Amino acid sequence: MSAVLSLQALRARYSRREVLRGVSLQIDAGEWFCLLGPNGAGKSTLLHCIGGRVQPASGEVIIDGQALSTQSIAARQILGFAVSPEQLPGLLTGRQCLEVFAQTKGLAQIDEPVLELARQFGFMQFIDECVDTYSLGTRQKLCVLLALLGEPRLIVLDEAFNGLDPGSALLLKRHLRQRLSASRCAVLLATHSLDIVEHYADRAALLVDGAIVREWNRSALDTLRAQGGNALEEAVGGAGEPQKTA
Amino acid sequence: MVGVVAAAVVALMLVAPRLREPALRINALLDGYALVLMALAAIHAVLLVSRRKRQEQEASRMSWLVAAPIDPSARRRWIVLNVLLAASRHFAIVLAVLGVLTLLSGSFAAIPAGLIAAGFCVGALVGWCLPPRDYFQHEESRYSRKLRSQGSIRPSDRALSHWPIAQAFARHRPENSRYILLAALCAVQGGSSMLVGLSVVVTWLLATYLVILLQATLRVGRDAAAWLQSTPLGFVQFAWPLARRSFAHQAIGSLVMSGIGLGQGAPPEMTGQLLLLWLTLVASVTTISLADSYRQQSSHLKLWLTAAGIAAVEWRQQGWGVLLALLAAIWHVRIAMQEKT
Repeated sequence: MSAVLSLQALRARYSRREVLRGVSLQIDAGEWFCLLGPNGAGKSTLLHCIGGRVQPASGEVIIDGQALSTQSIAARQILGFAVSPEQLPGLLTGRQCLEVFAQTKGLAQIDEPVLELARQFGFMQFIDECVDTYSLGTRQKLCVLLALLGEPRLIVLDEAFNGLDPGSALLLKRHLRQRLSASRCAVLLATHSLDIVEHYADRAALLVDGAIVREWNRSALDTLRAQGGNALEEAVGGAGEPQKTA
Repeated sequence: MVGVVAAAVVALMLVAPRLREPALRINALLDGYALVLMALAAIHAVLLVSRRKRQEQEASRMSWLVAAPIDPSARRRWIVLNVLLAASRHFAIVLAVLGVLTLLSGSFAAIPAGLIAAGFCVGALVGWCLPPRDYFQHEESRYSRKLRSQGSIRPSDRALSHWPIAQAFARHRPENSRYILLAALCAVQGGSSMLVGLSVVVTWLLATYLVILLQATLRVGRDAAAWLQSTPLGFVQFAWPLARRSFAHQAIGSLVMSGIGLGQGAPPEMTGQLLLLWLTLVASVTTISLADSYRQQSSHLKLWLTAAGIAAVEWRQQGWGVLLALLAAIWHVRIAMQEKT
């Protein structure tokens, strides 16, 4: 397996507050990696560093062999970053957003799997409406569709299942699994939904106070799932607690 | 803050003898237009107080304390206090200007001051008593013209170039542009021919549209940069689609305004200079703002300073302002193009 994402001792700060404290991570092709952590732990900051939206204080982000700091355009070409719904342009229609995003990635046409997912989402009925008339769920769908354009090697999703109805959430999970099964890409998802971690993730990590305090691989996750009940919830809570009280 | 005020007072006292003559002339001008100033103060107070009252009522309804057991009369008092404070702030600025003029000229413009104060008080009372109008926060897209859908979805940057125009139309919505239309109609002098009147109104509306379009382009630049930050878009591919249609509108609008000016007898040389200066300002401010937005940097103060600098240099030495604007724009493009490698 080749590393699609490699983070090396990543540090980030907002003015004097250190938000990420030397995070190192590697995600291979075909892997669904879930990032867990309490509110304010630094999950979104970590994702924004990967998306080039926050400049790390030190460390390196390498996407499929391309360092984000020195080969920025090449690295972003293979990155599918889902922006937050409020960052979508309210005055453009869904169709225009897709067209612009495809243009920025230099695509000759919109990928058929993305269009198929849009049809399955029931998004096509809103495609010619302006984004500022969309509900949260519809915006979230558009964010995900934009992130999936151009066959990205790394798909970065921040709480992307928030606001999605159960049917659409299931469709998206299956779609991502399908992409992963061909080892075409890797998925990095920041989430609080432990059911996704239990049933879909290949690996997971717990971020507390800007540092990864615990990681689970597939077999560890399988073990927790086999235990049933709220084993994962206990494990996550237990791993986070000492850090919180320290 | 205290230091800045003290420095300003000292500077004012140092230059006061030189400014005595201009201050006396301004005082005379105020005396001549005292009634107009009173009317303007009244209109401003009506708009300010009614808008502020509506905003405060809206804020009170949306407040996180809305469910707290607070006496409704206390809420009303809070709204009155906030509206009064806002009106007082505006009135204090007028008083400060009049105070500076008094210091410089040695004589207090009592009649204009009294009329402005009276106009402001009457306007504030009228503004407070105006019935609250139904206010719906419509989506901005309601006011913008939609691009015709082409059926299939094809990669294109057409929507990016349309975006600033849509934003400008959303800002230029009827509830905002009606005030401009009112001001434009007031600007038509009595006894003017229909053609002259129409020219004045069109010039006002066009000028407002061009200013709003410039603001919209800058805002869209910031929003687009935040949205497209994680894509591999280079600076030229980012800035050109956003600026091209907007600049075409600016050029056409400015040419039409120049044509109207020439038709009304404005000197061709001055009209040409103004046209060139405006288009240069638009091009440089847009370029600098887009470059800074692309680099995720704020450029608000820089834009004001650049615009003021260009205007000041051009005023001192004709042609140099244009050159300065060009250099500033090229410098920012160069830095932005190095941003993503």
